[in-house]
Amino acid sequence: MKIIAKILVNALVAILGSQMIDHRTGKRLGKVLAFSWRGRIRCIGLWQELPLRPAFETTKNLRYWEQSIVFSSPEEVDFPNVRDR
Amino acid sequence: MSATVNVILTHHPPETVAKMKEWWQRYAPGEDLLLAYGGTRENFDSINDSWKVFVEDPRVRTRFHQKEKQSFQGVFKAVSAELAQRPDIEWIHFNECDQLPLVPGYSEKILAHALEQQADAAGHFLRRIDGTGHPHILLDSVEEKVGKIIREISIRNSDSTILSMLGCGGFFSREAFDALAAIDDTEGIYLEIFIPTVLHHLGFRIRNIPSQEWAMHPKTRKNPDQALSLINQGAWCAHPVNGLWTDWVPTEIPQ
Repeated sequence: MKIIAKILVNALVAILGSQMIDHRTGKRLGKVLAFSWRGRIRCIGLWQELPLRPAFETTKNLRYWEQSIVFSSPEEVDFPNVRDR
Repeated sequence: MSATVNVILTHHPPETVAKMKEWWQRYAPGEDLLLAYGGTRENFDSINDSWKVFVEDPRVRTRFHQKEKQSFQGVFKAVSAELAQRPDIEWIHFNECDQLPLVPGYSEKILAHALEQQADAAGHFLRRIDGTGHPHILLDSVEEKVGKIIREISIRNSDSTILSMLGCGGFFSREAFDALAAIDDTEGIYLEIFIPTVLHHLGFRIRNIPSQEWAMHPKTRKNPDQALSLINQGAWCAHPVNGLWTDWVPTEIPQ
């Protein structure tokens, strides 16, 4: 039953979802179905390997009526050793 | 060459452990092998001719690892105490038993990567996850709980970084391993978050092993034939391998 439900959800995302782009790298991440439900924005299909950070997209023009939420992957983990400092 | 100990966490019965040990020794000649045993005390006592340590901590014996917040701190503490008698050991290569090494000198390859990266620790699928939708950090306000530990131990100024790394294996310098083992998980944090985050906030440099992620992917379970076929594609190790050591024991390496 769980497997059938997963197949159906995958099919729904493939048909109705839109292409998700990593806002930092521009990389295509696959299809995601996003919709508003009971005061929350639900995302179905964010199953890619990279964890993503949501944020409101910055704009060049002052715009009161519409904002976009984008998703970005964090940068590669590359911190120095700070024990000797 | 730096002295490395391969620590293998297992819960299998003695006869299965013997087969696993034989395979590992074939792929890590000259390196020490330490069994960290998470099975029953009776089985542990029956394992002969092995360097072994029993793990008492019940938090390693979970079924739904993420939900039950599995922890390796008990394992690391037991191993760290055991290694006190071996000051010559410089690196600890920690492995769960569902990994199948595929190339001789597997640990040496990871050591070479760690040295090249000037890293104190290295692991698979190392990701920064604070502020993201990573499922492990969304569960039970983990970000808040990790924040408490960070505030206690961090030597990195105003850094709220939270990391995630695959728990099935890790490569640690002796200093990093002993420092990690000394920290208690008072908040109940899943090990895949706890281990890399604590190392980072203790000031150590931790790096990913990107070249091997495809062979270590936790969602692509491999049967034994699939695991062995990865050798030709350049894999150092296969994970997770279904039925490894219990239903199937590798005997020969395909050329």
